[in-house]
Amino acid sequence: MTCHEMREYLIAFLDSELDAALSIEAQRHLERCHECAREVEIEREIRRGLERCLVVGQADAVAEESLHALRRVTGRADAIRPQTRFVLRRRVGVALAAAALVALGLFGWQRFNVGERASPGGFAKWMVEDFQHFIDEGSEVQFASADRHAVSQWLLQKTTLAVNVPGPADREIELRGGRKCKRNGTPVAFAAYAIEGAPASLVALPDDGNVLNSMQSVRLNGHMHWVDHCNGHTVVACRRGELVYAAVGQLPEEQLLRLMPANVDETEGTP
Amino acid sequence: MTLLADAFEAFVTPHLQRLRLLAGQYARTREDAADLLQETLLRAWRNFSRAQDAAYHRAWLVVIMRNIAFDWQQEARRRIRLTPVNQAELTDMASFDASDPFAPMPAMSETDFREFLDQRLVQALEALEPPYREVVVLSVAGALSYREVSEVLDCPVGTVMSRMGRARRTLRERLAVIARSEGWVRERQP
Repeated sequence: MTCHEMREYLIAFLDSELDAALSIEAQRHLERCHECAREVEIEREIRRGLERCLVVGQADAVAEESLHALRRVTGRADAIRPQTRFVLRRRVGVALAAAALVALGLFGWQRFNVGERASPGGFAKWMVEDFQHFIDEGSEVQFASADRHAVSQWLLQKTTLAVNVPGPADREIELRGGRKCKRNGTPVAFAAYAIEGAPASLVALPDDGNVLNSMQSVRLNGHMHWVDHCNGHTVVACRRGELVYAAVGQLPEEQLLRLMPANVDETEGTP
Repeated sequence: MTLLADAFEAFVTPHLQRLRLLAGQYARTREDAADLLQETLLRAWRNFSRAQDAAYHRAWLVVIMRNIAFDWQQEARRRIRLTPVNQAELTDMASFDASDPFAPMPAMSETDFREFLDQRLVQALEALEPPYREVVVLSVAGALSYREVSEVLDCPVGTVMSRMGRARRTLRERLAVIARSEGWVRERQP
């Protein structure tokens, strides 16, 4: 077996998927080729790492709970279907929400009145969850284009929002396209980017005066912005005309600032 | 009924832990994973009842789980984390030469390398495209052989082998990039 062939079969060899003859050939090659043997050792360690993070690290993945699930379907335990558990969870959720509303009524006014923010705020949380969802789904864009005018035009047609999709400020920023959705029944426009290869989204939505309430106001690059963090993600927002623009990604604030549209009318003043 | 239930439990129990691990990879939350496992077992039990003479194997259970995950993803009923890929999308996205060299990893001590992997492997795995991540997850978390993975994905074993090779090469490339960008590099001993 040559080194060329060894590399071809290396992963299957480590996964014990080669037939006996090829496996013996591979073993013989490794005995005399230190370079390939080193590659095998690295890949073997990576395979062990995968086992640690996908199997060993999940060892609490509940043998008892799984066994109980099995016995439920065979009628040997209390039958609670997933749908039933959803209803129960929903009821618990409603109760918790009611409690939260009471708590907010008692303490919220005072809390917001002294200038603190709820962190992570509702808007940032929504931004991050939506962002993660579409990244995980692999469906970042509905309209793929690197042309900011084409994306702006598509978003105008689909959302009726006159969005100013910023073009890439430099070669490290790539515009990938646009996407639309609704938040509380209001159309929202998305532009998907990659900043140095890392995905990021810019969201534009109508400014109802409340969107940014849960975020921290800060002055960045001499202009008023709003910032929040949630689940390892950063959200940076600004007001431009009648729209709020917010950028999200697993990136520092200064990187996301690069997606903010040009500040043609500095009207933010005091948040 | 009791005999059938005994047979079903005897068949499923050895695969239960792996099924739960896979459910944890397909679903985003622990609750959804528990529901996915429960729904899988329920559907398997119903079919097991109807065809008790059939030969069952663990890939059959994984196929059921994957189909449910796929349905949930389509209906957006739950947030599915590991995207099951349509058959139409299963053809390899680009040609790749299986004999291409692996990305060179920065030389580091064995201890450092293990520590680096434990910190960064999940990140590199999450960044893999869904068709590639899924074969790795099925193989490692599901402990399925290439043949079983091919049954689950309904594609030839050769396609699994090729996709696995590419997945692991891409994983290695990402790890190498991360290691260098984070300064894990150690000078190799002469």
